[in-house]
Amino acid sequence: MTSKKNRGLFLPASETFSRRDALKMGALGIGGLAVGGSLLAACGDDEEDASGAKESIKAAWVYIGPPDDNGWTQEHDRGRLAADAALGDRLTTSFVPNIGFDAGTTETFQQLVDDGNDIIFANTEYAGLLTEVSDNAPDTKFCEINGHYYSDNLFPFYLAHEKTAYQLGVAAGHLAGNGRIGYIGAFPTATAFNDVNGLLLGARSVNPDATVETVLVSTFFDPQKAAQAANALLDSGVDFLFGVMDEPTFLQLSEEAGVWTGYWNLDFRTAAPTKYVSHFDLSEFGPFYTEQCQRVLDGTWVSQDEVWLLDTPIGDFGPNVPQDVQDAVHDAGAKLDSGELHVYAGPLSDNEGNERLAAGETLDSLEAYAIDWPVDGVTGISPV
Amino acid sequence: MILAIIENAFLSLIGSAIPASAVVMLAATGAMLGERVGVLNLGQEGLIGIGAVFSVIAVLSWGVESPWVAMLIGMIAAAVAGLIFALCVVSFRASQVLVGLALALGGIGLSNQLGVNRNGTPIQTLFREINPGGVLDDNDLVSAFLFHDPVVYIAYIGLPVVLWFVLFRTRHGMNMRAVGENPAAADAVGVSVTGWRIFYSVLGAALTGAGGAYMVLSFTPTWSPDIARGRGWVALAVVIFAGWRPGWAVAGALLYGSMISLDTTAQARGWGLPFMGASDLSFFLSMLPYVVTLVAILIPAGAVKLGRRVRSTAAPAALAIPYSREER
Repeated sequence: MTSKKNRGLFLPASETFSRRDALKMGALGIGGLAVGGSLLAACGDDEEDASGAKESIKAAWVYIGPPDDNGWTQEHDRGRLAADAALGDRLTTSFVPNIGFDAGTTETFQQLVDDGNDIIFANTEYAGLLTEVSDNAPDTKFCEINGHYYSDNLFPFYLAHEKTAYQLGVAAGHLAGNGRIGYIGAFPTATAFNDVNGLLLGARSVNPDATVETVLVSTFFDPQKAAQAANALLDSGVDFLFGVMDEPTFLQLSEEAGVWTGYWNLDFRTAAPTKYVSHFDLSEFGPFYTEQCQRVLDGTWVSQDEVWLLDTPIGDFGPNVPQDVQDAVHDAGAKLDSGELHVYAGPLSDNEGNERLAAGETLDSLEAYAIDWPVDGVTGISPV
Repeated sequence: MILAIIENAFLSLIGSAIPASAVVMLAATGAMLGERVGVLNLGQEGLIGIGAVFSVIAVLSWGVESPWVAMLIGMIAAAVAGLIFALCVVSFRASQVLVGLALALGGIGLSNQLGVNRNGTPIQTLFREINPGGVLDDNDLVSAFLFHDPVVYIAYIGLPVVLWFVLFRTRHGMNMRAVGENPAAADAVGVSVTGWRIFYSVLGAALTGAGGAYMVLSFTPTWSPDIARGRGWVALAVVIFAGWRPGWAVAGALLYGSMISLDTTAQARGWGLPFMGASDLSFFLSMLPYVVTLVAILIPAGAVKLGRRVRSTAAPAALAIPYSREER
């Protein structure tokens, strides 16, 4: 065996190993399993022609949550089904739900490789738990959302959501009477910074006194914690509540409290019928997944050396959002798209008073992907 | 000035702690009921899940429109699980610890499976908070202790008072305690140890199931996997902290609830510790409830160690010991 990271009984299907190695393994009593696994994996490549194009492929999705969460994972699963429908018989898809962050995660990825999947998508950043497998499976392609690792068979993709947050912030600036915006986040990462910064800068374009108050709950899916955070923020008097939670508990609580609210993942106005503002539209997952699978079919899939950012338009508005607010949001969106307006435009300081962008400087979406500081006016979260 | 800040901090904490740990209060009462007659049910975590998921199913799939009926269905489901548990440990005298652990883990698995396709779906059939109307001003004090839904008052006031009265002021309660302390003696005077143990284990399981139902019908109006997330274990700790006395369970549950709420309330109100950044604080604060639980359990244990054994804080003498008439 050449692999330094061979994991027990799981032998990477793509690993080159000689007949002598196989005999050695056989002597250990596990050769049968290993050879069987590689034969199975090899079967999937039968149709491959000289150009690398394939007649049919298998793709697998690894989900952090359940595909019926009414949120993040559901949108990914909608994307999977879109790819499945678009490519018909040439694509076979499967998914594994509720994969958290432990040693079992690595085994899950290894199992999917051994099962002969040609491409594997991860809907959260699994980092080392994924790369330990991908580095030893060069023939399998990987796309990891919000990831930070690049190799010949793995690249990250994500959403340019700081612009969407800015547009929602414009709406919040108009709608929040006292200018106080609450935000329920998970971890102090670029996702949270782009959310709170976008909200604050968008809101301040309307109301210069707007603030964003953050509560981090260290999870994306825990309705109890989300409810506690929402109650804490609502009790402290915010007039607009947004969050990165994968389920809509905080929307229901906002509705009860009569506070404007919005959602990250999809249109969930049913949870807040009268106070719903809008959401981040994640319908670009379907086209992205379809394109990546098509490229594997064509033999033209190549890894990227920078993150692949998907457009994230603002969704439809709730029924009670005034027309002039909707117009202001769309106007800001058009200016962001044309480059006339930037989410991050200097002078900007972080919330500890350090200047981060000088006058005239801007950050583009690729730079925003790596942001690690909250702008002045955001509380409850510190620069990393 | 400082006094006002402390008062404000205390009220905002307690105001969110009361609903947050109503489930702990219900589960602790349920566990205490069983333990008073000598049956230790470690399966609280699973019973919360079963009570919660059946309430969710009642509302989302069976079209139940009353939260009380939905809660009753959750309680019945938990009672059935409690009956299976009780038959195993009382009639067949299986190890209460092992069967309890099996119920905890099995109940979590069962409820998660039944919850598939219901994750995150908002529940509209909810307990509504009691609003006393314009009689009272809406100040911090009032909003901390009033404006909760009826289950909260049942859990914190109704049940402890009833349980205290029955346990310590009635002959029936004396017999209950006898079953937990000295089942042979109870048996000798004609109390059916087996029957009482089964009955109160089932009733206790139903109360814990009500805690699960409360979670999805009021506190977080949605189903999510692993819904109890440790609250069942904390309830068992609260029983020990309370020394098997219903009134003290209220204090234990509120202490735990305050620690749970401190995490989010401190962040929302901008309270910080001088030596930590705000973003680091969330992990520290989510650790606190469990540290406090540990300390709270050690206090009575420590008192015993120091020879200050207070008779009423000791565990029922026959707790977790199967009773067999032939072996007495």
